Amino acid sequence: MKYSLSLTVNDEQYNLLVEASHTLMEVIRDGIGLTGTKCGCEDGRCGTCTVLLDGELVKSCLVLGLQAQGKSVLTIEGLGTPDHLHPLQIAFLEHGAVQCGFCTPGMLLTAKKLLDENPNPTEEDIRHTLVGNLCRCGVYTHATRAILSVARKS
Amino acid sequence: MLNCCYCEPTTVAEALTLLAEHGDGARVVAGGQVIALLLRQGFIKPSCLVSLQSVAGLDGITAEQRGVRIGAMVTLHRLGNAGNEYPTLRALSEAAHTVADQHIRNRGTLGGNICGAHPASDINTALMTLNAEVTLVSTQGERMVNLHEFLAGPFTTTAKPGELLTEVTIPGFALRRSAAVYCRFSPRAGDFPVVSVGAFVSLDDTGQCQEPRIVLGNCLGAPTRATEAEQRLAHRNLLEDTRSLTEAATLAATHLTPRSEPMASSAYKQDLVGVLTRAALTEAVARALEVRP
Repeated sequence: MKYSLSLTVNDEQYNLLVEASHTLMEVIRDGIGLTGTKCGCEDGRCGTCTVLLDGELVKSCLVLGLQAQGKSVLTIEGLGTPDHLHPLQIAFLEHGAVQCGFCTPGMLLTAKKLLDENPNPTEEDIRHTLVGNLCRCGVYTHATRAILSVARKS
Repeated sequence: MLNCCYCEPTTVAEALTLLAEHGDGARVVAGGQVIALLLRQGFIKPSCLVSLQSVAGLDGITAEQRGVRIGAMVTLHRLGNAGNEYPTLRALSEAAHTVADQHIRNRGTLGGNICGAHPASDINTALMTLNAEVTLVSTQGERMVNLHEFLAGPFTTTAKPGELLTEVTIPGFALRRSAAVYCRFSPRAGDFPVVSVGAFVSLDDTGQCQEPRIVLGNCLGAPTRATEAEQRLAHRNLLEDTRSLTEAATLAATHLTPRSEPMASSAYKQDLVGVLTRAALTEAVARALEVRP
């Protein structure tokens, strides 16, 4: 059975028809076509599908699309644009914190939320926050340095 | 494609009516951290998803005479900080803080975690240590059940169709010098614990231990009381007889044969039970003594 869903994604309003069992990740990727949000493990471990839902970090594969009714979502496409990268995106490039890049969108959104709440995190804070974002290439050290560098600049 | 309806009631009464109408086919969605997974994996095929996110009045924490009442929709993130305001919840906060990661704690709820009934649930082990009771409501009425009786085995509870878990009550500590501690071990942060242990001690004016509780997580299908170890501590003076903590830890380790897993044999888990029980008890006694008699 399909239901109408209205939500805001990256400041744009969308109205879609979704099944009750569709996840927010499916809505974002298949319904809206924003494929920056990655589909990794689909069981809540890897964090590649991380988005901000009403400003809160969530794994979009574990949120039903209809639970996002009337809410606001920020995906990687809303963080920066190719012409105007977010400072975190620049720092990730400068520090080589991207290898295959699959975990990067989720990791960047987690990093953004961390810096929004705690502009001066310690390395320990950063490592603790990245627990929910797995990287199989192992860029954790580079990502940590990149996030620290953005914190120091601001 | 699953033919399933989705409802978002705004009151408990409306939710109960929906649960009664759909019977076995209804599944409650709290934070969705368990349900979304079960749906995708095809483990459940509900005819109706009843979301609680718009139901008012299920996310309060209130201290009353009989104890602290916590609404089923309180998130694990909030629970992780509740111990600062409500001292009896400290061990529960420690447990909540270790669940998965920030993303999941933001959405995951107390009620959802309990009803998911995962054998390694940090929350259920901590709640049993605190002797928690759950309130179950249906169109037929309301009942309170000790969590011990509510958890029936792996991923199974004794909730009847149509019943909704609305809140949890943590009874107050009878003696002032009481404390609970939650310890767990997992090789990686964010994983379920290989083994976890909750310990509760309560010391009278002379230092004698009254009604101790030791709960072992992820050893059997549901958190389990280590009764022999508890008996070893009961009525012992824990200020003078510190050996009894070690003896209790040894008894806890041999109390049961833990379920082995690919990453952890039964014998390995038994060793962990011993180490964690010793640590939890030592810390619990230290905390109990911090409280002024």
